[in-house]
Amino acid sequence: MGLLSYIVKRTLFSIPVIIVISILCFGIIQLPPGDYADAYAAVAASTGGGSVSKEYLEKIRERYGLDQPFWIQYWRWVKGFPEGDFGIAMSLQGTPVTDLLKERLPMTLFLNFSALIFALMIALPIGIYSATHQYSLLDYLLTFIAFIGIAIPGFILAVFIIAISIFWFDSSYIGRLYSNEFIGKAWNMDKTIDFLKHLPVPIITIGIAQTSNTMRIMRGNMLDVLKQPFIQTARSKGLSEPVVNWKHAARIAINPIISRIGVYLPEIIATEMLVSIVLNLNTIGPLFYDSLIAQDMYLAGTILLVISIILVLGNLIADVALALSDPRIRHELN
Amino acid sequence: MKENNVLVDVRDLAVNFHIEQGIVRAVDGVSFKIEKGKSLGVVGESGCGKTITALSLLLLHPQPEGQIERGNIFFYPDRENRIDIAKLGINSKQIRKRRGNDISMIFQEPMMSLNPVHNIGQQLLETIRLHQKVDKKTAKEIAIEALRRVRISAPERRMKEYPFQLSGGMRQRVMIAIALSCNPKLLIADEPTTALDVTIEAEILNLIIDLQKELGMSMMMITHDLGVIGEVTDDVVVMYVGKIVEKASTKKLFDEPLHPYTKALFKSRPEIRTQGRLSSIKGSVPNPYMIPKGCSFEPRCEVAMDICKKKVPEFFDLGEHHVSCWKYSNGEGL
Amino acid sequence: MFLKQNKIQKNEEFLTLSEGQLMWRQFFKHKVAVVSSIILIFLYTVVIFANFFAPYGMLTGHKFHLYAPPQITKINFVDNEGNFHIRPFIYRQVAVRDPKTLRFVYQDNLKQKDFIYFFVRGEPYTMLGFIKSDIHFFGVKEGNFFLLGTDIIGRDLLSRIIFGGRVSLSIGLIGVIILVIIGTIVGTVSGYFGSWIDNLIQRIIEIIRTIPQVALWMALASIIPKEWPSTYVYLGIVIIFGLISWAGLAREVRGKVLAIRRSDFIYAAEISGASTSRIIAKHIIPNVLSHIIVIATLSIPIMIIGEAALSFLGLGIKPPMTSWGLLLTQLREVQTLKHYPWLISPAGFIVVSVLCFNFIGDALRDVNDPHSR
Repeated sequence: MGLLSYIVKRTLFSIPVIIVISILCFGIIQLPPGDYADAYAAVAASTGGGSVSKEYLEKIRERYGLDQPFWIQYWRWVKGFPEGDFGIAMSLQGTPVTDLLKERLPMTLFLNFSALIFALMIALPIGIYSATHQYSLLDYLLTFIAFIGIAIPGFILAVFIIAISIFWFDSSYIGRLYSNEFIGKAWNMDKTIDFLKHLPVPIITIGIAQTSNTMRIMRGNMLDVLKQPFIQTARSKGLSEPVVNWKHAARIAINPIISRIGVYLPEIIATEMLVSIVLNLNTIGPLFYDSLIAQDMYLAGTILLVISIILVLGNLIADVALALSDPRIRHELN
Repeated sequence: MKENNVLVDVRDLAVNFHIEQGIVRAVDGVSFKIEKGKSLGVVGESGCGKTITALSLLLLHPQPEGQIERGNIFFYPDRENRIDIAKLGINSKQIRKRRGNDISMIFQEPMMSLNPVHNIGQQLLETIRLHQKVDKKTAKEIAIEALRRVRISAPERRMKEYPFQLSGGMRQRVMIAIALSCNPKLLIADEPTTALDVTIEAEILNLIIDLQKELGMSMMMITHDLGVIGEVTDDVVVMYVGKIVEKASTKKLFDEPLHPYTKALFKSRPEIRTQGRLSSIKGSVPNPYMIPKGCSFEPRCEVAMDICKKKVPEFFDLGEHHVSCWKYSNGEGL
Repeated sequence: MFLKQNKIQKNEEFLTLSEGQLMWRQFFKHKVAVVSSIILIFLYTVVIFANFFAPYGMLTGHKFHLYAPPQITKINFVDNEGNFHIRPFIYRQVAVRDPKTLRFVYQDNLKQKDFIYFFVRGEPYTMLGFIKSDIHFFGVKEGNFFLLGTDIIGRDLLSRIIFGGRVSLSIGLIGVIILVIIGTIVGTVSGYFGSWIDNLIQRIIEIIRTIPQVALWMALASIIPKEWPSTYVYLGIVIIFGLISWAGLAREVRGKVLAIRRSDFIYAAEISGASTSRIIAKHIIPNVLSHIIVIATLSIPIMIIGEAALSFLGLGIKPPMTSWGLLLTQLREVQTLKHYPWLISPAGFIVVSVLCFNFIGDALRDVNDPHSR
C-alpha cells in the first residue's frame, strides 16, 4: 500500500509542476521577437518566393490569433488539452499537432527506452567485469573505450557512422528506419525484420555515451561495495566468486544507478534529438528543430511540454524501480 | 595420527602484505592447536595480526595484497584425513566446501556484515541450500530451527525481515544462526561483541558458550578484551606485532601471566579497586614498516636485557605454558 | 626486516606535507590528468595567439585550391631523387580538372619543392587588438601549405580550426564562470537559510531540471535574433548556457552546505557572534570550494559539446565567427564527407579537449575524495 500511495502522491504533485512548465514552454517559444508570420515571411524571402504582402501577413496573424496578448494565446492553447487538442502546426498546413505527435511519438519513446535498456544491458556486465578484474589489460582497454564513448558527442558519432557505413557497409540501413518499400505499409513479419535491421545504428549511436558513463559508474560502485564487510561474510559462507559478485555485490552496486536513471533520461532524450536530426529519422527531434526555426509555437511548445512530461514520468518510474529494488527505501515509504 | 583430539594444527604460519610502501609481516610465524570441543582465545591489541590469522584459516585474508608466505594449516575433518588449508587455492572448490560448513566465522559489525537487501530467510537459506542437499521445505525448517536455537523470538516472522529492522544484538544472533546452520566443527568469532552494548555482550557470550557445549564444536575467539577471554575460553594465545608471545590454558594465564606484555595487559585493566592513574604500557606499537630487530616488545619492556635487542627470543616451555621471552630461557639459546 | 633507509625517510616526509601540497602530489600521480593538462595548456596557448600560430587568416580563401586535400601526409624529407633534406618540404600542389568527372583533382608538381620554415612571413595581422605583425609560426615561402586541407571556398582548415578554437574553448570557460557564480550563490543560500527559501528554490530547480537541457538550449538559442552581429550571438549563447546549467551545481552545493551547516564549528562561529556573511565566506565556501571546482571542470566539456551541437544545427555561432561545431555544418550533407573526409578534423579537436577536461575533472575528484588518501 505504501508504494501505491507514494505513486499517487507523486503523480498529484507533478501536476502543478507540469502546469508551470507548460507556461514556461509556451513563454520560451514566444520569446523571440516576431512571430510565426514574420518567420514565414523570412522563409519566403530567403527561398526566393519574393516578399509576402503585408495584408497576407496580417491575415495569418488574425487567423492564428498571433496579435493577441500572451495569456489569451496561452489559454487558446491550453483549453484544448482536455480534449487532446494541442493546437495546429501552422508551418505544416494546419495539421493538428496531435496527429503529428501520434505519428512520431511512439517511435521516439521506443528509441529512447531501447537506447536506455541497451546502455544498461551492456554497461552493467562490463562494469562488473572491470571491477572484478581490476588493473587487467581488458580493464584498461574497456576504460579507455568508455572514455572515448563519453567524449564523442552523439551527433558527431552519427556523422561518423554515416561516413563509415558509406565507405564500408551497405548504406541502405543507415539514416532511416524503414526501407523504401515498407513505408506506409502495414506491419507484418517482413516489415518487422526490416525495421530490426535498421535499429542497431540509431540505438547504438544514441546509447553509447550513456553506456560508457554507466560502465564507469558501475565499476566504481562495485569497487566500493566489494570492500564492504558483508562481502566477506558471503565468501565465508562458501559461496563461489561469481555468486558473490552478482548476487551480492552487483545487486547493491546497481541501486545508485537505478536512482540516477532520472538523470540519464534527459541525456538520452537530448542525444536522440540530435542524432535523429542528423540521421533524419522519423521522430520528434527533427520536428522540434523545424518548428523552432519556423516559430511554430503550438507545435514547438507542445513538443517541449511532452518531452518534459516524459521526463517526469521517467523519473517516477525510476523512483518506483528503486523502491522495488532496495527494501530500505520501501521501508521508508511505509 | 596420534593426536586425534586436534581439530586444527597451525604450524609456523606467516602472512605477508605486499603494498606500495613495502612488505608488512602481518603474521610472522605463529603456531597453535585448536582441540576438538574446546575453545581457544587469541588476544592482543589492534593490528597485532590476530584477525588476519583467523581469516587465513579460511583463506579469507585480503587479496591480492595478502599472501601466505609459509607454514601449514592442518585441518582434521575426521579421523583418517588431514588437509593443509594453506596449500589450497584461494576460492577453490575445496576451501569453499569447508567455509560455512565445517568451519564458520562470525564478524564484528553485524550491521555491515549482513547483506542489507536480502531478508533474513534468504541469507539463512543461502548457506543451508549450498551445503546440504535438502529440498526447499526442509531447508526452511532448518532455518527456522537455527533461529530458534539462537533464542530469537517468533522465528517465522523474522525470516521475512531485513537486517535494518533488527537491533544490534538480534543481528548478531542471526549471524550466529547462519554460521551454525550447517553444524560446523569450528566456529571462528572475530570480536563478536565489540560493537555491542555491555548488557547485550553478556547475553551473546552466554549464548555462544551454551551453543558450543550443545553442539560440541570447537571455537576460536578473537578479542582484545581479557574479560571475554576469561569468560569463554579454555586456552589462550597472546599476540604482539604478528607473533605469539605467550601460550597457555586460560586458567594458567590468569593465575600467572609470564610475558612482560601479558603482565602489562592485565595491569592496565581498570578494576573497581583501582585508585589513582590507570597504568598503561609506555611507548606505542611499532610502525609496521620499522619493526625492531630482536624482540619486538623490547622498546616498551620494563625488564628488557641486552640480548633482547639483538636476538628474537625463542619459545620456552615451562610445563604447558609457553613464553617467547629471554627472561625464561634458563640459559638456553643465550 | 627494516625497509631501506630512503623509504623510511619518504614516509616521514609524507607525514609533514601541508594540505595543499598533498593535493598537488595526489594530482600529479594521475599521469593521464597531467598529460591532459599539458595538452589543454598547449591548445589554449595556440588559440589565444591564433593569428601567429595559424598559417593563414580565418577568412582567406584560395580560389585555385578549393577542397584541397590535407598535406600533412605529404611532408617529405627525402625527395624523389633520393636526396635527404634536413628541412622538410612538400611538393607544390596543383589543381587539375579531371576530364571525366569534371572535378578538380590535386596533383603534386614533383619539380617544385616548397620547404617548410618556422617563423615565416605571411599575411599581416593584428593579434589581440594591438600586436601587429606578419610572422607566422610555420609555413612555406612560396606556394601553399594546407596541413589539413581546405574547404569549399579554399579556406585553410587548420587556420579556421585554430580561430574557431577561440570560440569553442572560451565558451566553456566563460559559461562555467557564470554557472559557478549563479549556482554557488543559489545553492549556498538554499542550504544555509533553509525553510521556505530552500523549498522555493528547490521547486524552481526541479522545474528547470524537468525540461531537457538540450531542448532548452535549442529553444533559447532560437530566440537570438537573426540580425545580431556574431559577437552578440556569441555572448548570447554563453549566457544561455550559464543560465540553464546552474541547477545541477546549485543542488550539489546545497547538499554540501546542508551537511556542513550542522557542524560544530559552524555552531561555534555563530555563537561567537560572527555575521552571516562572514560565516559563509570564511567557513562554508572554502569547504565547498573543492567540490565546486570538480563540478565546474566537468561542466566545461558539456558546454563545449553543447556549443558544437547548436552551431552544427545552425542555431549557434554565426559567421563570420567560426567554431568547431560550425565548421562541421558542411558535413550535414553526407556526400561531402565521402568526397572530402578531412573536413571532419574539427571533431577530433572537440573529442580531444572534451577528453582532457574529463580526465582532469576525474583526477580532481579523486584528489578530493578523502578515502583515496
